[in-house]
Parts: sequence; structure tokens; C-alpha cells
Amino acid sequence: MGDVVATIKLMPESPEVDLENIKKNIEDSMPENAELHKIEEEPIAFGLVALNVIVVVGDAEGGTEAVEENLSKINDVGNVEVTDIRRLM
Amino acid sequence: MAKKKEHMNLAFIGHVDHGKSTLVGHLLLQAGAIAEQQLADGENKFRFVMDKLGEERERGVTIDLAHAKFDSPKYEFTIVDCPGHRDFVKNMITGASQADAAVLVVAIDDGVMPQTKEHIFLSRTLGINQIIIGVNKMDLVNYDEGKFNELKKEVGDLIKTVGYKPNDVHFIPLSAFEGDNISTNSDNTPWYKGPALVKALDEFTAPEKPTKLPLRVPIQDVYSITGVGTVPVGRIETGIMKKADNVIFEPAGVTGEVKSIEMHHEMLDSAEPGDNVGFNVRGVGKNDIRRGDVAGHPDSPPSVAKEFTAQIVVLQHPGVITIGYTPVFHCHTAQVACTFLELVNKMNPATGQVEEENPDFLKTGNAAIVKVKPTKPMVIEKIKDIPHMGRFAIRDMGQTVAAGMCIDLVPAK
Repeated sequence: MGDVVATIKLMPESPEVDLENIKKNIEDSMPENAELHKIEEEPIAFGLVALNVIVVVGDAEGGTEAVEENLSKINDVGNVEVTDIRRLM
Repeated sequence: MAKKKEHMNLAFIGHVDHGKSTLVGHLLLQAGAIAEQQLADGENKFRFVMDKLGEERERGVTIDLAHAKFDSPKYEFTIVDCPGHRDFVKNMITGASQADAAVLVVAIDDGVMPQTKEHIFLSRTLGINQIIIGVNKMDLVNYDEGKFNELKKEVGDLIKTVGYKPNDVHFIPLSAFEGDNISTNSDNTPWYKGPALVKALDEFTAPEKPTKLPLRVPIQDVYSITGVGTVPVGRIETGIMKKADNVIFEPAGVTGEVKSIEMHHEMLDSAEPGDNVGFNVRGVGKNDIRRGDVAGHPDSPPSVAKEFTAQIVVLQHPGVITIGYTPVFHCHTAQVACTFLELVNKMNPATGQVEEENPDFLKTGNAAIVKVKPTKPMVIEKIKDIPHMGRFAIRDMGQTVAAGMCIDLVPAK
């Protein structure tokens, strides 16, 4: 079946949010079939910082759906968007 | 100093069992992207690497490898090995990583599979205009020229239906496992006179940034930032945005002046396609615009469609699609429910010929021309005018049921 690595961009609700707290919640929000690899900060504009969450999921039904859903429920997260997907060897 | 090589995103598409991963691995190895120190001595370094990747290698290494770049004599390539499952199609259509060219991998022993057809259609929908066909697993048929030519004809007919010109496309006999015709021409295929894969990749043309098309910035999110004002955030798809430009947001219909643009927290005087920016607009409130709106210049504003005509392929649907069906269309950052008004015709995906006018229904595997009506105002562009803004995925019941492109539209105003 194989695995897919996805980069999911989380936009915060404002420049003032506590990013460290969001990061901790990301770790806690991973569904069973997803494996968190790392979280990178990406400065956007006017103090806004996005978080790029890199996760591995199976190349299977549902795709990144469960991860996206859980991430979008985290406090202070504005929206969630998959910006990159590719299969792992 | 030598000029920096131009960069291209190269997608590998095709059936998951047709050896895509092996081919990507071999390409990275032969092109030197897998460093020698990552290898141990052995008779067959490649098999060694693949075994290591399969069993022991740390996750971090395989993830880094998935994002590795390799250099051909002319270009710097990033390889994207596309997922096989249909549930990733939505991400491929609305996500940011746009492929500039593709290698379609078809295994000689399996031939054209339903997934092969889907991927050919999707590559067109995704705006990939340059393609190479890798006929893989040639070792399994003893490098038989006759079998190669049969499959070449079959795939050639298929790609013709979506507008690729088979005569301009390289069909390369490969064995990803043995390494034939990857960086140099193989002695196992003396009858093959074309270039090896790496040489063929250099014949691609580097994509031009679509700076000459009208400005289109699909809005991801809108902020009200203290001391700054209203800040929409989005990725410039086409055109150029400059400081002091007037911009219009559709379908909201509001206009404002761009006071400043930032990317990576740095001020820009102008932003171009591919830039992820936040820009401060004067004259627009946070609640006037929302995610899914599109910014453009007032003299060539984003098109708001009352209805549009689309070419779609049904990827997976548990039942049938009939007139009145209203699933959600994911197009750029917008998600809008659209109703099927008319099933214009159904095409044979293998030949592109119209099979049936005004069919009663569509089911999995069908390609069709349909007319749809968004349930609320929505920006979409004709694929031939602004390809970046004309493609969409259709979602229903948590699945990607279809994908397609807008070929015509009736403006709302």
C-alpha cells in the first residue's frame, strides 16, 4: 500500500496566539493512523506565523481527512490546508 | 559564477504497482541525490538501498528523500511521487505543489489499468502539459520490442484523447529494477533509438511564471491586525500584485487599495505567482471578504459564474450521478455546493469519442461534459483562460467522487 507524507499548513486565528500551545495540541490530536514527523514555523506577514505540520499517513482510503479534521478543531487554529503530498519510497 | 539551474517539479504518476517508487529510487541514486555515504559497499547498491529503505531506515531519512532534489545537466528537479489512492486527488488539485511535467509509468506486464487512465486525465486537469511515458518492467518480457510497440500504441491512443501529441512524447523502455535506460541507454534494448530518461527530462521546457495572466489571489484567510488593518492572506496564482494597486474581491464585489505586501515577514513592493503573501488593504473590512473569495484587478476582475460547463471524470461514486445531484466543489480555496443541471454527453475515456448524448446518469469511470450551477456565487475561470483557476475536485460523503475542469461559463453579471 505504501505511505504518503503530507505537509499541512495551519493558519493561526491571530498573530497573538500561543504557538507552543498549538504545537502541543497538534501532538495530542494525531489520529491513530497518522504519524507526526515534525512541525515547522513559517513566518507569513504582519506577525502571523503559520505552522507546517508534516505527517505520514497510509496511501489509502480517507487520505489526510482525519488529520485535517482533528487539526481544524484545535483552539486558535484558523484554517487548515494540505499544501504538499507525496509517496514515500 | 555559473547561472543557477532552473527548477522544475516533476510528478511521477501511474498505477502504484507499476514500479514508480523503484524508478524514483533508481533515478535519485543514479543522479547522485542519494549520497554515497548513505550506502554501504555491495554488489547491487540500488537493491541494498531499497531494502534499507523498506526495513531499517529511519523515517526521517525516507521523508527527506521524498523531498530530495536531483540535478540533470540542465535542470534542478524536485520529484513528487503521486499517491495512488483517489482520496488524495483533492489535495493534488487544490494544494500548492503544482507539477510542471510528469512521467507516467506503465508496467509492460500489466498494461493500461483503470488507474492509468485516471492519472492521464488528472495530469491534464492539473495543467501538466509535458509528459514522458516510462514503459517499465521491460526485463519481465525479455526487452521484447514488439510488446513495447503494442503498449506504446495503446498508451499513445489514450493520451491523444486528452490532447497530448504522442509523436512529441518520449516512450522509454525501462527496467527500474535493473536500471535500464535511466541515465544511459541500455544494451538490453538495442532497438530503442530514443534518449534515456535523464536525457529526456532535459528536453522539457522550464515553465514560465504566469505573470502575464490577470492577477488572481484566492484568499485563504482574512485577519484584522492591530496597528495594520485588514490583512487577507493567500497565494498569488497568476499575475502580479503591486503596492498601491486597486484590487477587487469577488464574489464579494468590494474594492480596496493595497497599502503594503509582506512575505516571510518581509515587505515586498510586488508579489508574483507562487508567493504566499499577506497584504494590507485599505477600504475593505475583515467581514467584507472571506476564504474562497478571489482578489484581482478591477480592469480584469475574477469571473463569478452563474453556471458553468465542465469536463469531469467520475473517480468513485457508490451509486449514479443524475441531474439534481448537488455535491461540494473544491476549487482553489472555495468550497461551494453545485447542482448538476444537465448531463451534456458521456465520452469513452479510451477514445475521447462521444458515446452518448444526454445520458440519464454517470457512474464510476465515466468521463463527461456537464453543466452545473453553484448554489451561491463562486469564482471559477475557463481552463483555457486561466488554467490555475479552472480545475476542481468534487467531494461528497467524505470522498472525492470526481475531478474536472471548467471549459465554459455564464457570468453572473
